[in-house]
Amino acid sequence: MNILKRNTITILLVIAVFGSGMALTFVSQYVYDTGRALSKTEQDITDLQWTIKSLKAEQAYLTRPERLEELANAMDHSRPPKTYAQAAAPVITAQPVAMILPPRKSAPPAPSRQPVTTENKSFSNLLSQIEGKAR
Amino acid sequence: MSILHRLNHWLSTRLSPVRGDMMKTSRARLRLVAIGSVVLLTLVCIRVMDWTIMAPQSQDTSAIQSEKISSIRADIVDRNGVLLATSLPVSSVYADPTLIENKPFIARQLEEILNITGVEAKLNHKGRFVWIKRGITPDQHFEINALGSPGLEFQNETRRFYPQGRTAAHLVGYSSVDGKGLAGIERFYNDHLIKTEEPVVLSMDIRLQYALAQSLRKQMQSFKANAAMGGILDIQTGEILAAVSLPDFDPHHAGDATDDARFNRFANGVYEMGSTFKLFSTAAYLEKTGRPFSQTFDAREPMEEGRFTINDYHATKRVLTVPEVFIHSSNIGAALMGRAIGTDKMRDMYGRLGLLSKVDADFPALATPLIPSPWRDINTLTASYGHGIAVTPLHVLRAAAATVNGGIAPQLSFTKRESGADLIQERIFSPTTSYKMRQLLRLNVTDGSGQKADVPGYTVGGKTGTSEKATADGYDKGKLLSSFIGIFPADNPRYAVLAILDEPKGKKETFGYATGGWTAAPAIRDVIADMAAILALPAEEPSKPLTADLRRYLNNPEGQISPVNFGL
Repeated sequence: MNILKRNTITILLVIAVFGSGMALTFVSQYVYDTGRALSKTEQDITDLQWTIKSLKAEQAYLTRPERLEELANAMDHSRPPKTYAQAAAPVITAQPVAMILPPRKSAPPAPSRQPVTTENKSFSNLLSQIEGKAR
Repeated sequence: MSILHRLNHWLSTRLSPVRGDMMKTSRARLRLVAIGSVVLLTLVCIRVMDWTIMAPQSQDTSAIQSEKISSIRADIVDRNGVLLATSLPVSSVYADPTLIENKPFIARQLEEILNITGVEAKLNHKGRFVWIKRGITPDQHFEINALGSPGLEFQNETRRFYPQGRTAAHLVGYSSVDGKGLAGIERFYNDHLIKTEEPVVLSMDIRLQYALAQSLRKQMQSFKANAAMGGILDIQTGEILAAVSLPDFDPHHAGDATDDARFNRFANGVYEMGSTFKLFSTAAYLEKTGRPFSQTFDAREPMEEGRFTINDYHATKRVLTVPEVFIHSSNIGAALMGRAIGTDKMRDMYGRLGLLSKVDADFPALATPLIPSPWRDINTLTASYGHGIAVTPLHVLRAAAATVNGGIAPQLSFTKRESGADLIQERIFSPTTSYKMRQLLRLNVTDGSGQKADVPGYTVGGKTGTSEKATADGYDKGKLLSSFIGIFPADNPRYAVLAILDEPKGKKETFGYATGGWTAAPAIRDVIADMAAILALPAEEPSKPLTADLRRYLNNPEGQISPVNFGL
């Protein structure tokens, strides 16, 4: 019986050792698989970063001023005039309402005289003027 | 009774008590050895599995890892984030000559695929490693692979790519195939580009850079000039918004370009600027002597100084006021101003303007000015009208900014400054002198030699310059350096624009003239017009012209001077 008992313990020990080995193998495999997945993800990120970088370079190349001018010349012959030509155009100065119609007693004061410039011709400026008058 | 019980009973009756104890001990030892062996065997098995199954796969994993973005040379972008230089992945092909059979055939194939020569000599190399070509295209990679030669291998590398091509070649510079900056910003910021991921943000605006390059190229071709250069400076911040040197080169093939094309005239070349320097000598005169605009200078006869004779290019042969000296660009008047200032004060003023030393800016190989040594009185006279002293265009831009922005010299920068950054600035002139200079510059454009630089709606001020180039036999009248330094808006200057043409030739339309007023001033006009559109600058005329107070100093009662008479 003693021999049997001892053999049983031995067998159990052997099984435990093999079990531990197997468990260790599975854990190693799991860690390895996870690491591989991580590497793959990192690789994908790097590849995407490279792709983005390449696309940015391509965008910069395709939109460089030299190429845009060539395309504009080739496809659209109606180029805008030089700025100084636009600036040379007569400047229209706003006429105060008071000069056209004298204000009635109950009417609000006429707007102040302001030269028409690019800045105060802007849409936002126009909006603010309209809103100001509405109040 | 089982066999085991019987065997146990037989052993206990047959063996003596002593031998029985020995047997027990032996069994225990055997058991220990067995367990130890099993554990050892298990460990060996696990390790063998690890080596045979996992290790090769781990190697495969590392093999597919490509170079990380963080480990490559950082980008260079313009002030608006437009890409100027970046590194992209490419393959490079190398050979182990000992593994290549039929070398002549492989060499011919490689030469055909790669469009290069001298491959056979490389394959006859005695070592076991020789580069065939670095930075090949994917198609070339595929075709070389298809050759199936075991001695040809590929290496993944990165190659520098410049999307803007020639437009900013001198400014951005270029790097070697090993990723080392060799010129321009690539060289100056080499350590930053290698060690950090952050891009270098230039102060340059690629749109303005292109506008300036195009204007200069147009004038260069029109006047058959040898070269052209120019720049745009933000007067308030000291940022370089554009820097052009023509002829230029393709930075992808910098090695194939000529030395002349690679030479950065804007930062590395020094030139006698001629009358453009009257901007500085006149300012120095007003600042150091405190005399008024009404001060007169006798320009009726050439000025004799020792063995030298100083003449006027646009001779008026009359007595001139300060504004007249400026708009007639009188060398005699400027020399007389220089004499009134005195040699020590003139040299001191030029020194404070930075014209006598290398410019302090973040750009490599900036040229050192050529200055008279020793500096005699005659040098003071010639330096007053820009001769006998040679500086870079960068010097001129900085000194012009200091003259017109209230008298404060800005610290130049080729990289973008953060808003609110502390600026290192030095006062050179009083605000009064600076204001007077703005008046004179504007007057020169409305009534003087700079009329072709005027852009209606944008109060442009400026000064022309035309100098004869020095040769071994003295100054050559047929070889000119024509320039124009413009500022705008003249009332409150924000931008300084410089254009220089090297050896322009006169033409019929310009009555044979190739002076700064005919050649460089129109380039400035075009650039300012483009800048106004690009930067959306509103056009506006001041309620009172800047030059209104100066009319009384002009002899011509109508204040109008014919451009033809001027020779511009």
